[in-house]
Amino acid sequence: MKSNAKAFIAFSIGIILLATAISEGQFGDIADLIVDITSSALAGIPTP
Amino acid sequence: MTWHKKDKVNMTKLRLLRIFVQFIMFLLMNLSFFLIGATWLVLPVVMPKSIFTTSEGAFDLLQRMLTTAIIPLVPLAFFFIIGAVFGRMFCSWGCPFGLFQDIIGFLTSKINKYEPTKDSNDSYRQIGEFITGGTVLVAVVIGIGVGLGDTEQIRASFGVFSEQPWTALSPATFLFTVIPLLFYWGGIESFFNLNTLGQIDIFFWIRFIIFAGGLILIIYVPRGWCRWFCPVGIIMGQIGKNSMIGVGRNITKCTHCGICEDVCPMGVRILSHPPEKVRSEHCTLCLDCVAACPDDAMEIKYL
Repeated sequence: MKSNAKAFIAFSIGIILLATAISEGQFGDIADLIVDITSSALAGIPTP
Repeated sequence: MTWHKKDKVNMTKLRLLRIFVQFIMFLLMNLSFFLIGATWLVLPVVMPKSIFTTSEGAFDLLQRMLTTAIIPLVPLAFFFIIGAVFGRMFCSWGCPFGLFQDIIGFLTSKINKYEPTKDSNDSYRQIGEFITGGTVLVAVVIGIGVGLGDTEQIRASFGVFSEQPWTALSPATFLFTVIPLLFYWGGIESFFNLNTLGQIDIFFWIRFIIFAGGLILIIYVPRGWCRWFCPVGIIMGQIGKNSMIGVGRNITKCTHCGICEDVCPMGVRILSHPPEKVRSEHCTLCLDCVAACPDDAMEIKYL
């Protein structure tokens, strides 16, 4: 398969995923996740 | 073919321009500096959450969504769309950890660098593929457990890895989350007091050792972390090696002098790729080869 065709297929998959995410309202769902600093990121940090 | 002084000047200018663009991108991802709240900007870069961060790296968000039992459509969409058009361009021009690697590389440019062969370059990359695959697998297992309603039990079982398995160990998290929080919370004082030094969590020292190891790696191997271990780079490399924008060689001008390969910070064997476009999962479109080519044979190609 030509490389350009692979690029267009990958781009189309991305657009379909984005459209699905928007229709599912996923951008609203992730708002809370994005503002959080997770316990994984905070693991082991000494606090005073 | 000799490498003229003019070409060295071009290279330095290009590298400084790239560091400037990366710094602007870093500021855009940390808009709390300017009292702007969280955005939904998701980019294929390594950017774990910290005090000032208002957006998130796609792989950090992907882990978080998987472990929360949400299908990660948003990060996957950004991986595919940006990867298909720009390839790994954000690794060179937008990644904060890439900026850190470029600054360290710039400051230690007098030190002799280790340049692996093409085979070893590819085989070390398999470690990154293992990290990426393992992280996604663990996140999916946690997500299934959470989806089945065993949230408390599964979070307790996986401990610090239960929300973002790789982010907990990533040297980028140590740099962008742990170090700023140590100063912000005043935890840095613990290191200057013998009574409290011994009380610091063992997991902190594990993270510190991984960060120190990564730092030594990038001193001796240009963009060593980026080319072999970064999960974002592994994913973007697979999607982006056939990207619409890339670099190629004009075969009527190319003299096979090899300067493009010598300057490539990712060790891409450019001359072994088809001249129409370099199809390598390592290429980050940094354009060092374009700036360094004394015959102007390296060009940016579209579609």
